[in-house]
Amino acid sequence: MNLLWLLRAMFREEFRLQSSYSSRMSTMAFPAILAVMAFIVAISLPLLEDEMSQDRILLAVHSALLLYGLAVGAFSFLGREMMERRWGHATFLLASPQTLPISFKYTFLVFFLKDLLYYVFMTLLPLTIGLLASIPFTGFAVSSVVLLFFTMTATFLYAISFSFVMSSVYMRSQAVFVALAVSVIGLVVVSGMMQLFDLGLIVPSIAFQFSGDWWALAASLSASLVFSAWAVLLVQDRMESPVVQVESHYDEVAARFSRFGKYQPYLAKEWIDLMRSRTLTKLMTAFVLPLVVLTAFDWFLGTTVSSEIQFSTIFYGGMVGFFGVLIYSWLNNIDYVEYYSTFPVQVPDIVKSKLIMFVILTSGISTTFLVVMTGIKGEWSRLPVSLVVMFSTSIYMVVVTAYLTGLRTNVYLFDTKILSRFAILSIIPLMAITFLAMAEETLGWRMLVAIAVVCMVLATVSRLLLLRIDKKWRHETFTV
Amino acid sequence: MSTDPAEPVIEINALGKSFGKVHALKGVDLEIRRGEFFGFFGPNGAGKTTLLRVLTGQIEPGKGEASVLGIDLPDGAVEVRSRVGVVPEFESPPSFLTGDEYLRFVLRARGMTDANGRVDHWIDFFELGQHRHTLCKDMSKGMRQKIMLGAAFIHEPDLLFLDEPFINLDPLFQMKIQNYLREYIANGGTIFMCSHLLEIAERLCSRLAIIDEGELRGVGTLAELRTEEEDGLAEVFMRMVGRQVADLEREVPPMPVVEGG
Repeated sequence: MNLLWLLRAMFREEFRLQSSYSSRMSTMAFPAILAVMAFIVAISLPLLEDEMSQDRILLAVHSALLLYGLAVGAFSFLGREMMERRWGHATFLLASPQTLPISFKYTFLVFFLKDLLYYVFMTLLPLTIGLLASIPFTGFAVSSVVLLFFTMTATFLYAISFSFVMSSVYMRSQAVFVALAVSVIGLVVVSGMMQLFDLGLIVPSIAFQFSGDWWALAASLSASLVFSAWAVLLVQDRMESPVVQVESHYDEVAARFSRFGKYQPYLAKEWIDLMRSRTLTKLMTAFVLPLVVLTAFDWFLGTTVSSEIQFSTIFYGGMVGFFGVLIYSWLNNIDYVEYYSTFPVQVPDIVKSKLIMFVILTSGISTTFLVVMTGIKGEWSRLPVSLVVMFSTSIYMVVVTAYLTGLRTNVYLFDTKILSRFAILSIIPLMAITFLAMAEETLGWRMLVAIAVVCMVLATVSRLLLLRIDKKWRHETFTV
Repeated sequence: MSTDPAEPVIEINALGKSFGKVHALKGVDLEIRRGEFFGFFGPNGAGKTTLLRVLTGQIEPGKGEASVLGIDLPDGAVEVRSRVGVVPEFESPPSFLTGDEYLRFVLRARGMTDANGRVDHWIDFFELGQHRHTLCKDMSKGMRQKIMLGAAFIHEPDLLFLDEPFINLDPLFQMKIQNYLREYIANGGTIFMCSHLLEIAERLCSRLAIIDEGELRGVGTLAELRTEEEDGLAEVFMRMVGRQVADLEREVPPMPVVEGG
């Protein structure tokens, strides 16, 4: 099968998949919204200049892309899940080797190329256009915006290639995966402690961003090529799953959730899903990893670069809340829900059971993380405020996400209208908390008052949206 | 279970449903009474599953009115589903529950517990003993279909909605399910069934309807619908959807030559 033909077919498939959940117009407007958002952020940058240097903002952009690429690049892993269950009766071109004379190595390679191009065109390019449009207001040099586009693409390519190869290794051998992951983390930690080399050596595209050294760009692209080639070679051409027999214990699990009334049956089912699909582990990784990376990033800069600002635990409180969205998204991604269409239940009931599960899962972990961070940073006096910020933002973010996306978070966040609302509802409070946390020394006690006001507003909005979930999702169907 | 045979359990008036520009149902009128085994037939894409989904509150009707067991739709969708059993078009129980667990889950979601050993009964009925602890995602299609049938039967509903209930079942189980459904009707139950298996349907259904392109072509008993020349349901079906057996028996046109193959 011709590569270009398959690539084009996969593009169409991706576009139709996204369009099927919202609308064609909405899907096409998604990049435009991103461009507008980039434009708004760019013209707002002078507000942050006193608190954050331009280099630091660029580092934050690359870190975000690194995480983004790592999150979307686990094709070997996600690919199998796509074929096995998550999409119910839908079949994707990725599964073509099951019936056509082509290999999984080949379809995964094309899938990888498709995703790379799709994200570059639908995300990075619109962001760049937004920045270019801001030039009359910001005075950015065209060459530096173009350079940023190429370095962002290089960082993203590096991250998805790395994620692709790691997921391929995981599918072959979990032991080797763990050994590799530990080695990579160890390398980062040792390099930071020993000040052996800087961040640019670990992520060469960042070095290219700051030094313009073409060798760094070449190193980044070469590494990406090696990662992706290695990943394709590791893709297995037979996708077989062993038949799993387990101890049935639904009634015992349900008994543990007896205090949750009508949500009891669904919470028990959610819990079993989490354990059996090993999503609990993946979910915790998805939740904790960004925070660990953020912490490592902060620590790495603190030890290798003269840092003008350290992230306080109040800032971490807000971040923990923000990353809670990932957990809700994962909860919606474990399995299809079509069978609920035969149950005496409506979509809002299942949304609320997932919200309860979210609170159960995150309360302990978030609190533990924040207490540990407080201990590391020796900021015990900030802990009470940090906890209030964390719980307010956690509940707020997950309720906003549930209200806007129901049971199809990953899909509806690609709908332009929903994404715009999500961006407005999440970025404003997040920026407010970030700004207040960073301006603590300048504002003093006034910061505490301002944070209290922000948290009260978040709690009030959470309550209002929670009450409106029934009305918004009552007529939604479980079937796609 | 009420047994008043005159009582209508499904009432549909001028029901319409569109998906964008596609009109799946166009002014459908239908009444189904208690104790009937009602068969609903039509070509692929005729609107059968759409009607079943409207009647079970899975989707909302666009125009007209529908009520099931005296409960108006779509407002009473949850109440309808609490009183009926549904076998959907796709055999898709949750991936990570075992068959045993799924049936227990269904009971709890319906506010019941397994006090009477219902789960064991249906596991035995479907001969799933060896596989009761197998995750649904690892089951064969036939096993998953059995689990979905068990989930529809387990709470002894007044009314069953069955969308291709015999699909993926081996001939022995097709027979066993037919016998169970006959017994269910004899005990006062009502069935609304969509199927393409006309031979089985002809043996089971007391009344039937044929739909094509969203419009009802005929409603009644087989005796009322067939002409003197017609032998059975297959011929009635073909006539009502505007096809002739001879059309299908014509020579298959030659295959085009495949280039580059």
